[in-house]
Amino acid sequence: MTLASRSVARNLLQVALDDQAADFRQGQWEAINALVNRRGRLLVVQRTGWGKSSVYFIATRILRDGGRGPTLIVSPLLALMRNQIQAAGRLGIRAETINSTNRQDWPSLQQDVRRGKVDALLISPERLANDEFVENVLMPISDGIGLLVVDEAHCISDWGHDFRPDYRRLANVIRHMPENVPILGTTATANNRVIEDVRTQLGRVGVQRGVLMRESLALQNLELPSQSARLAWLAEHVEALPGTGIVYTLTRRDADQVARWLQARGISASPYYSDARSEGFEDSDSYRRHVEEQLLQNEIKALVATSALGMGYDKPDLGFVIHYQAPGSIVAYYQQVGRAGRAISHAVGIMMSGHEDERIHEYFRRTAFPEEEWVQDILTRLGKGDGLTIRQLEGAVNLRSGQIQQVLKHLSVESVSPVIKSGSTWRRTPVPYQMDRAKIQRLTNQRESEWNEVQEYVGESGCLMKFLAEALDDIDPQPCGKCASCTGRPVVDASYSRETATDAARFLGRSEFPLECKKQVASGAFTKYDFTANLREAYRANTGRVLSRWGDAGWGSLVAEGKHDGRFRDELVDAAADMLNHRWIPSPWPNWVTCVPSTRHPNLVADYSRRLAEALELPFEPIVTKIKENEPQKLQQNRYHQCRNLDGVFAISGQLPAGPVLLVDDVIDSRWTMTIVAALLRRAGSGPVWPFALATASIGA
Amino acid sequence: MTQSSQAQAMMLLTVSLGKSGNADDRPLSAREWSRLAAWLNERGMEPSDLLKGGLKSTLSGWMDRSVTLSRLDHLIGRGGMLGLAIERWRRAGIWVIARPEPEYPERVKRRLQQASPPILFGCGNKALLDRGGLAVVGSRNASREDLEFAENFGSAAAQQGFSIVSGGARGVDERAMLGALGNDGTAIGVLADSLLRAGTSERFRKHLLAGDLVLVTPFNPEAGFNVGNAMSRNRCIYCLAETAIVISSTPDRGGTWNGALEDLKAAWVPLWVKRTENESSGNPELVRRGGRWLPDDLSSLMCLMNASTDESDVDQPGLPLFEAPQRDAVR
Ligand SMILES: [Zn+2]
Repeated sequence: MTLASRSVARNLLQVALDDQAADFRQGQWEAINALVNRRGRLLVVQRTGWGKSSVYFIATRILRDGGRGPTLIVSPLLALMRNQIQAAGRLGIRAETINSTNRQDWPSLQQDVRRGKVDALLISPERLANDEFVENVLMPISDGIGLLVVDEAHCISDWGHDFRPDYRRLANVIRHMPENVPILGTTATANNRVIEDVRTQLGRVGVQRGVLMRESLALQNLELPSQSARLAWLAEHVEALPGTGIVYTLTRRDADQVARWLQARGISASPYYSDARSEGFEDSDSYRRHVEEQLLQNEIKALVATSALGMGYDKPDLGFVIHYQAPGSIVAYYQQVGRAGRAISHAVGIMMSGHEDERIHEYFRRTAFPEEEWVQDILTRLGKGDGLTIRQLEGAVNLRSGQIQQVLKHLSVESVSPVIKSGSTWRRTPVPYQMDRAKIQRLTNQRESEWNEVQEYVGESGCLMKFLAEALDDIDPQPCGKCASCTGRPVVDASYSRETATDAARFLGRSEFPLECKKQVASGAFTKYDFTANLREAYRANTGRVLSRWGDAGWGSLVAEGKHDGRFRDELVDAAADMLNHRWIPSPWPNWVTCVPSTRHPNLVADYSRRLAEALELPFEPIVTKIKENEPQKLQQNRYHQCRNLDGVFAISGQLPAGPVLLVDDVIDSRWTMTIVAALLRRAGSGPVWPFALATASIGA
Repeated sequence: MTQSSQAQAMMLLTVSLGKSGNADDRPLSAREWSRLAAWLNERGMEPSDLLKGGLKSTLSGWMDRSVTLSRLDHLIGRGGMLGLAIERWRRAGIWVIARPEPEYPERVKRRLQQASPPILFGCGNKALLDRGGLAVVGSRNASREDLEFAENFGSAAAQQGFSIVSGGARGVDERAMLGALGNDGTAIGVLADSLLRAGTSERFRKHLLAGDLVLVTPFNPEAGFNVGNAMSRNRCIYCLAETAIVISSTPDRGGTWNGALEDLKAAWVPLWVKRTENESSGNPELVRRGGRWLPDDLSSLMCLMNASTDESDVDQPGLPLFEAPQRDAVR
């Protein structure tokens, strides 16, 4: 049954682009034709900017005119890009987003969908993987979906560099959709193996491939192993790069740090990662949308982002993409660098690689899957009743809430799963379960070989673009004639001044960050201390500081060394005193210093705290004592067990000095110890408590 | 495991997937579906043909007062919703059997014919569905004595190698089933609602995992309780079994009473009625209407099967659904 001919569709294209001469790019009409006239299923592999949104909006218009229901677009992007909304608007398509920022509009949006007033609905894969959302919001309006669009469809493949569990759920949904629902998957990055995998997962899907090479992009690699060298280079060169762009980092904390450095050097840059927040913004989504828009409008020079930015971000005039650290795979690299130079004649892609990359990727691989033991613990516990809430699970198993979440996520994207969420409780299903160790090993090996390929790229002496194109199984890879290898001269100057590098090193040494103690404790965990779940205001610590991250550039490696040697070096005393005196400047200023006691290393922290007190010219009063031996706090994995493990352990002995106090500990993780010792001090009548720690154990990924 | 496109088409047309505001959009009943299936069959078509091309041309010539083209068009357009629903149910370990599929219980198809549910959702060991067994029914608020009897009866059945077929509800149903399951026996639970909840509950889970239990329902696995559904579910209990035992009944009302009368009328399986001292019980009346008193000695339950209705009487060859094996595909 033919709904529309090519000429009708072409007219729509001209309307959408507001261009009377516009004609389809290679593959666009073929895709529209397959979707609307054959109700087909199609995976389109085309580079960013090819015009996939024209395809699905024109298809939507035709289907709507043919009496079909609205299009559901599943995309990791938070909102449609401005140009897409304009194109949709010209076609008379009302496109709406349902996401966490517009929760208050959901009921009216639902109603509008039911009344047929909405033509395209955009939701994120995370929403689609949320059982409550699906049941209460999506199901009631999904009875007439006319077309399903899956953006970044390569994420469905677990061969993909960024397989996402939420997409696995989506693939399962699609497999259960009858063949009369047309489906369009789009991606700009997929090699043959990923395409094959997506086809297997979705079944009966046609594939259309375009050329992926990007002609305007000039690539170069920069070997600057130390972070201070890379920061120095950025400070001196970013401003001169064409237009505006993105600096990619591997971890959130690197995104924060690099953004702060650039800001300190007078370059307008903002951090971007999932859950990034900023004052003045209600939540992370609204902050991120704001900075996405700022970059789009060229109001800032750069976003410093983790891989959370890129998926679907379509800025035609992006001038540069710099990698502060090397990404985990060539496919990931292409996806990120390929965002640059879409509709401009010259753009640059620079990959720097640092000596910390290896460690971070190793961490990513190691923590990609939950431990089998955690899985067994949780399944055993859920097998004993009619379901538990997350909070109840935390009380029942000794796992961190992040670990519990990871296990439940891992299990619940299985097509037949041992767990299911019903309301707020998780229930064990009547499905036998065995963790697929062979598959986990296969994926881990896969990631290792992908990482090796990135290192080959770093050392590549031939054309860099050709290297990428070959790795992506592009149709006809050719030398690009633009990269540093092809032209024989650098795209960007690799030099930087020694002064800037020294400044950068100093900046890294000043990368302390706030330490917020807990405000709520696990209820029922403090029977001896008798703390209520909501810790009284009068017992709470002030906002403190952490000097570094364990083992990191800056002071983190000295902290690790000191812990190993049994003594923290004087540099760490000076660094802390300098921070207190010049940057933190707590007010009211502390009158005395005390520390968290340890029975395993009775002198380490006390000795350091005494020296710090001397440097600050304050008395050191070790009045917190340990009256009960407990298990190491790092073995306690969730809030309930962490709290229980501290109950009755510490006591305040001796005369309590008057006034505000600086409370010192060496390495903190969950912050419970600080919270409780501060509360005990305050209950014993101390002044305000300023907590301070030398390092935090978390990697900040 | 993906569903066949036959099953998908049948689910689109017959399964309630959410609150349907509009009465004209309600899923087809078993009989409505059977009419459409027979019509397609006569024209050499299959349910999955409704998923291809235009419905109007596929169904040209279809005339039905209640099953209108626009109703069918709406139902068949629920593909997105179906994908979301089935994905969730599959995840919880729930499978689907459509009437034309070989795993569909033969007894139900033979006895209920066009009224047999087009789709069965279930979890646990499918193979038990064709094992037959002893149906045990009784009202929800049975006496303690009756509940104990139900449990003892279940364990006696297990010891003699028979399955228990029951409704899975609290009370007589559950006690009879758990009586069997607790004695290494097997059971079939036919639920009127909330299959997903029952399948993930502690009382049934371990038996489902061990392969000793199968739970099935003709309705949306997350549907709540509904009197109409409970009534039509009762038929499936009788039709999956080889013989039936009424433990307790309230005269002139309730599912147990109506279900028992329906069995007496249709003569699906012999109906045995437990003796009772209770004067308000409907049991004596059921015997008056054709049931038989359950013998006191339960050491040989085989004798309850022997008085079996001649099943060839129930078969009605000549109905289009049963003519030839190749036609099974469109049932
Ligand atoms: Zn080149």
